[in-house]
Amino acid sequence: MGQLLPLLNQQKQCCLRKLYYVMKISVIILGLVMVSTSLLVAKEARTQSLDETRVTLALKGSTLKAAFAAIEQQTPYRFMYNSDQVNAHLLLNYTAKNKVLRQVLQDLLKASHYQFLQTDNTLLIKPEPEKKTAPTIADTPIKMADNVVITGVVSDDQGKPIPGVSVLLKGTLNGVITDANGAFSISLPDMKGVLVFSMIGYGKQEIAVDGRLVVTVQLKAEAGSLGEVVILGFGQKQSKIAQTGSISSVGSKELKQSPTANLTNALAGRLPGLVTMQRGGEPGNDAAMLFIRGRATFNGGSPLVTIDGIQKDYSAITLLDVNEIESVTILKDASATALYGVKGANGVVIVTTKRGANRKPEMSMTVETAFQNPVSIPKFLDSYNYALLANEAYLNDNPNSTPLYSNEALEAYKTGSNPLRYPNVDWFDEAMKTGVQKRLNFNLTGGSPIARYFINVGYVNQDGVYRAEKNNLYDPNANFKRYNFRSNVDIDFNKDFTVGLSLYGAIEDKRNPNYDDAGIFWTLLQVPPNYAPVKWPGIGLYGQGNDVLNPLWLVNESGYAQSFNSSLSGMLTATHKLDFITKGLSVKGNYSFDGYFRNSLVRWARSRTAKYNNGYFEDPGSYTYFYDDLPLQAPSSTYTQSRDVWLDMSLNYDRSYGDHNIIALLLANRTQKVTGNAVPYVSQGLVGRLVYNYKQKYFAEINGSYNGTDNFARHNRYGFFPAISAGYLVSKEAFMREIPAISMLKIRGSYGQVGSDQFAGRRWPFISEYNATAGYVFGETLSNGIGGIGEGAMANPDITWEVSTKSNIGLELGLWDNMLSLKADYFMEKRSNILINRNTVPGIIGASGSNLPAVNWGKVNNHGYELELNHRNKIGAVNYFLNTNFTFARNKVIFIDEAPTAYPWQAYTGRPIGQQYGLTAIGFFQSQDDIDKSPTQFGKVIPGDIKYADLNNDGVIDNNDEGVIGRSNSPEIFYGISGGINWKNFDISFLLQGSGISYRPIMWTGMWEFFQGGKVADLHLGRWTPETAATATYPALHYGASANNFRSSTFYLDNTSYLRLKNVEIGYTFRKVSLNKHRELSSVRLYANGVNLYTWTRARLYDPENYSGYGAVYPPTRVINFGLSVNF
Amino acid sequence: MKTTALSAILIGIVIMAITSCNKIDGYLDRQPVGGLSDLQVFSDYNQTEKYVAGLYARIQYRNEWWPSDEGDNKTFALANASDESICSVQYPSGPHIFTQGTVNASNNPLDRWLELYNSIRAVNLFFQKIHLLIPVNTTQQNNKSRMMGEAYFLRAYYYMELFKRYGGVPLLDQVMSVGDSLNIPRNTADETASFIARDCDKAAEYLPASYSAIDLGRATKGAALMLKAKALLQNASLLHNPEQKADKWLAAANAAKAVMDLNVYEVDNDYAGLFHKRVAKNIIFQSNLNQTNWVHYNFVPSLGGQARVQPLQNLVDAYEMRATGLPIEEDPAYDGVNDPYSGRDPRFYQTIIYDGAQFKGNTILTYLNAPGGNDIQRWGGDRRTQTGFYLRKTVDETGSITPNAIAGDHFWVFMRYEETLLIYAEAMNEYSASPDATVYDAVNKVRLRVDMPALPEGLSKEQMRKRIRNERRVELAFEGQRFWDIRRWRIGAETMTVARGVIIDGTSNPRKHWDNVVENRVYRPAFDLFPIPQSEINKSAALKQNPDYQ
Repeated sequence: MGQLLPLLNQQKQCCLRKLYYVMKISVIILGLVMVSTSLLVAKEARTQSLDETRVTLALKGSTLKAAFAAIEQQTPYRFMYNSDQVNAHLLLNYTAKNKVLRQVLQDLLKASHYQFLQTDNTLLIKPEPEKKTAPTIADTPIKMADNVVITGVVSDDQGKPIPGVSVLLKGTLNGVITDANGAFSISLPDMKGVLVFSMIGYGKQEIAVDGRLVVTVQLKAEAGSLGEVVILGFGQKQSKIAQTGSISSVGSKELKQSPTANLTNALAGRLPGLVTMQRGGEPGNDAAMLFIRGRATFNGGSPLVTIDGIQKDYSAITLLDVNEIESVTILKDASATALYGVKGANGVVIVTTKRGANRKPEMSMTVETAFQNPVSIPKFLDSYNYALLANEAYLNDNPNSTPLYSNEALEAYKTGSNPLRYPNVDWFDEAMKTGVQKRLNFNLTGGSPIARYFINVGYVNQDGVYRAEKNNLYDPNANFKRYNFRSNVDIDFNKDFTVGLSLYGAIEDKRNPNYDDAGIFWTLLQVPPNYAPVKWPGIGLYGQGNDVLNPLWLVNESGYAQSFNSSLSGMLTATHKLDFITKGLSVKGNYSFDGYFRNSLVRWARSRTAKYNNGYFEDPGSYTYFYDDLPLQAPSSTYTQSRDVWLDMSLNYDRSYGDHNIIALLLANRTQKVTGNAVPYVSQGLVGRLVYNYKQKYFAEINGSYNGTDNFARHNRYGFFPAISAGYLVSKEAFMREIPAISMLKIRGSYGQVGSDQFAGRRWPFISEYNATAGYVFGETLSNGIGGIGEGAMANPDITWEVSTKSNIGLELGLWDNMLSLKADYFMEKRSNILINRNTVPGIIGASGSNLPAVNWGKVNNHGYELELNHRNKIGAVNYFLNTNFTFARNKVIFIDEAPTAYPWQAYTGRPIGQQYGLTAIGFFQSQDDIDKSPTQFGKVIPGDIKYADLNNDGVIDNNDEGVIGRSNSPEIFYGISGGINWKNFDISFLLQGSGISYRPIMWTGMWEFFQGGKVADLHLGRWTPETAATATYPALHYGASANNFRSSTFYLDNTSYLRLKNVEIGYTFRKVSLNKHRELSSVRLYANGVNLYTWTRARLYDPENYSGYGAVYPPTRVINFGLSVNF
Repeated sequence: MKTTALSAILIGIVIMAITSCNKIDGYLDRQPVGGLSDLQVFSDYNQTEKYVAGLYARIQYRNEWWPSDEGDNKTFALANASDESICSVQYPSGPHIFTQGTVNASNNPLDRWLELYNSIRAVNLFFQKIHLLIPVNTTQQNNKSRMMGEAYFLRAYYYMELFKRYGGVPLLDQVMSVGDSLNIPRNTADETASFIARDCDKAAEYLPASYSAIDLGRATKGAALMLKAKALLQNASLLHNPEQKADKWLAAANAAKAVMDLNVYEVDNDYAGLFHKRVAKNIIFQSNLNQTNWVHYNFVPSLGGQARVQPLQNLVDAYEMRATGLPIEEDPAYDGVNDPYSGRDPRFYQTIIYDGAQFKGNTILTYLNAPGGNDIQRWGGDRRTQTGFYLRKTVDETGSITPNAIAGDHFWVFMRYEETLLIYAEAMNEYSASPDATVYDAVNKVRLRVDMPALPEGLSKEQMRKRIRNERRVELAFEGQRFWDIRRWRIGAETMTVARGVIIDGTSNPRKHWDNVVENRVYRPAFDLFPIPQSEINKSAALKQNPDYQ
């Protein structure tokens, strides 16, 4: 096509017609190339070297092109050349009979002064270098004559050539730089020596020449190294060195080390700036909450999730199989997120899935088996100690009465002599088992220059931890299965037009007892050890005691619930280069849909329970019976479905003029979200991005988007969100070369605005409405029912989006060849226009809370910093690394339309979002005298009860003394420390992860002794008694109720800081395992890893990530996983 | 060819997207719908009827009479916060907040300030918009008139609920908007009572005296007049009438008399059937909502219930001796130690389950360490009786929990004719120097119908006051009245001091009964009115707090 362009230039007057011809011809040519290549791909076999391959040619008046075609037909090799540089229409005469290919090629090219470079099956034809113009890194001219010329191609691990790589003969100043095709040619004095390949951003490689004329090299952009290519918004990529925004990224290798079914739990501690909080561990429902740089709004702080450039439902991230993920990137500052306009204020999580590359197929299979146990189960007391404390508590409340448990009963509990009459059941032990998780994965990736593919199949089968018994009708055991399917295919129709199709599906099957986890765990936390035996052996019914239900009865006899979720996603991407308009221009389009279908069914069942009165245990007459035998009921089912559609169209421009490098993007997009029973949600926008750098040293970017959503009234729909940023790679300056220790130094900064259209509650707060309300039934026979209707929320026509103004300053430093690298960011965010409810309107208006018109008045400030310190080194055969990241983010409520509070300590303004409130405990009352002299507290107070601070000094402890205690419920500090060692085929790595400055109230069942007939835990042993007054760690016990102690106070406030051994992996890799003479496995890896292995925390009873402090939650699990993966 | 066409199309789309902005913007037009507009509601007869049904539903919004698990107010019942009963358990925000004296402006489980003003707004909105409804026939014309009456009645009802709680409150008769000045001071008690009375009078003009079966449960003329009597009685009582102005009592008496003069209502001798039926000649205004969880919450534990309302000895002692009509302390026949439950007011047996009483064919035993079942007294334990008594009144004995759940019928009675008579008697007695025949007649009508002897002749005003108050206490026990009577009579300091139960020694024959304190209670005069919520005081400088709250 190149040689036809001048023709086009000469006849501009009929350029359209010419364009047509050009296109037609290129279609034909490239179509042929495609067919031949695909044939070659099809007969993919073990590659013979140029010296082993023999060809037969008989060319007379033929062209070079025809010669190449003939060779391509006979061998697996194919030719590549730039038609601007190589005239393939050169005529020649040549014959060869069963001649070695290398010789043939040399013969063919000798006359035309072309040379060839081999990379795998590709033969790159190019002009012989004009020796004097060969760039060198030294000024000294090199003598070329009599030397050996070594050629080769440098590519990245995706098979793409890398231009600008420095190739240096080790120990000399003799060096060259690769050209635009990644090719180089270097003249060496002999066939020995070592070539050093280096490029900022890629790992350095040294390769011994060892008698070879052609050296092909793949450089790896290692994770954490500065040369990494980073994924930006809308599928754009940029070399990390050119990055001026604040982003963090983690690759699949690290993510795979956490054997969790849910991707969000593998992110903890890996990304500076990302705060994760896993609340529960129920199979299929264990996603962590994600916050980027903490929280800065009252209206949900969830970041936007995109997968392969497409905005997704937040839950989509939880459906992914970790094996299909290439990387997860978070965008943090305005510069990186401005492209997302009205959606980007809370940051953006960008998931990129794996795609094929131009290389031979690689197949990988993984089999894993894991064992799961709940992380933190409170330690409860046995019946004997329970009864002892119950007596003590009872006598505290009723000083002159007889104890609840006689000495005879106590003795029986102690000795276990009569376990039916005096049961001693460890309910958690009875109800919990080790859950098994199995994971299988198969994926295949590869490609030719024309088609590239990645396919993935994944399977997870996760059992719950309830010790449920399968009966003849159903299995109440909790279980979660997920099947993942993905196929990412990219096809080059010609060198200008590429089409990609990504198909994805996930199926989830979930089953659990028909009693929610909250209910089961609540009951487990409550049921006392002496409640009743699990089952009465004599009559085979579940035991029933007082006040509480039998948790195993709930698990086993309540029926079961199942849910079946399917999600299906497809994305078509088409890219067309528009070099014929101007070089570096291309147009790209994406169309994507996601469908979510959720079906669930519930089948009720119930059985009788028995409570023992007296008599023989075998005699059914000795019991009172509760409930009916209710056989398994017909299912009742529900279903929901939703569909998201995304469409975008973009113009991309990427070109260099000498030292000036420009990247530009203009993108238009539309979304539509269809959910049951709602008018579809829509949005659209224009996105622009202009990136400039000078000499890869000075960087500047402008990002902006103009977004509209249907959430706002017509006059307020659209918003413009701009951001600017700049960077300066100081280490590129000449004067920096004098400090060899500093291999990289960059400073950068950004400033801009991003929006958020997320708010809870009403869809269209700009209109008022009358809604259905409770009605009333009239008539003697209640036959005249009339549904109610009433005034709904009031309108605010000026409702608009939240605005986040973000600034960020960053410093990146690499020392000693990046053996040590440091990255530091300081950020400030001012969130304004936060939609809030009016809190100062007197209630007599008659419309409270959410029915008042919401206003964009809220303001929150957020600031903080992130530090990342990485060290990697090699000592002998040992490679090791140590990476740390640390995030601090602190927010402050500036305005929330708060009415003046009676006392300053009650105010929310000026406090962090999620601030805790309560009384201030100042110890335990030591005597009646102490009580009498202190302010009046709550109800009847006895020595040993909690003494509170009288903040307003009015002599009464009441709500007015409740104020701020601790800080927020979400952590302000979040950090991770990971490290690892590779030694030969052995590797070990770990991740420590922690958080700090967060608090939770801890209350109710489990924490409050004997609460609602509940039990007591180890921590209650430290109770106050007159004897232990000096050392008590818990107030005097009460039997089930204490108006004074059982309330929110600093005593029942947990500092939920923790440090966790989140992850350890040990593995051994066998390389090149031969199966037989012709087949070998490229690697086999055996490994063991684990999640949540150990936690250091002062938080009581429950897992520190459970921020509610309410134990009725399926706890997160500790997972020990064993795996085998095979790569073909 | 293909690529050319494709490129052209792609570029074309991008250019179109950028240039033709008007069409593009149309993509975001989603016809916002979230419900109906005011015109759609009030210009449509059926929608307007729905709106009025919605106004009725607000009566039921939260029922303090029924213990429930709703919100934080577990086990709340007005009876448990008065000297009628005690709750089985002590959850946060339970009735003990009232009995232990910890009510304050930030902590009041019975606060309904916001909710009632919401209801008042809803009624005011009806008045603002009702002109939009153009009736098309006489039925609609009549029903529009009825709806007007219902709206006046309901506004009066909601203001009465405010009046009982807070005394004089800001009186709003139109819909306020966010832009209006809302820093409005409170009206006086007199103004509040007059406002309610005026609304009731207007309601009475519009409302019929009775309905056909299909509309049973709607407010009637009688209900409006009765509500007026209640409001005026409230305003005449010591709480709002410290100088005991006679004209206030006369106004209350006249209002009650107006109900009596309707000749629509009559006393009903089926005391046990109250709350479990929907048609009776004594019912003036009744809830149409069947409280199906009442059995669950209030059945005796041995039948699977939770016994959340446990009557006190304080109330039991108020039942007179049937033979003489004398209080127990004046009747020598009463033997409180050996035989306290014989020969009492018949209403005692229909209100309270005592040791040895029959319930659903079972003998309920509450003596100390009684064998079998759940009904052994065990102090501090959950759900068992702490007092020695269980509740029978308001609980449908035909209901059951096991083996079959039967909810039974429980329709709360807001107003009934016996109360009308007692209001008349009380107001007339207070108005007069000494009780006249109409006072005796009113009280005796209530007594005679349940086989209690008539009051002795020649009682002084003070003696009569005592008898009327006791009659009110007994007749209206567990109907959510006592809590408010304590307040308007300002007798909390005397009656809310100690909650008593009984300890029964089952080892002797006959069993011995001893008084037992189950709760020492705290009552301050300030409690006669509720505090206005602190959050509202914070928002409005003009709103003055009730005395002695901070």
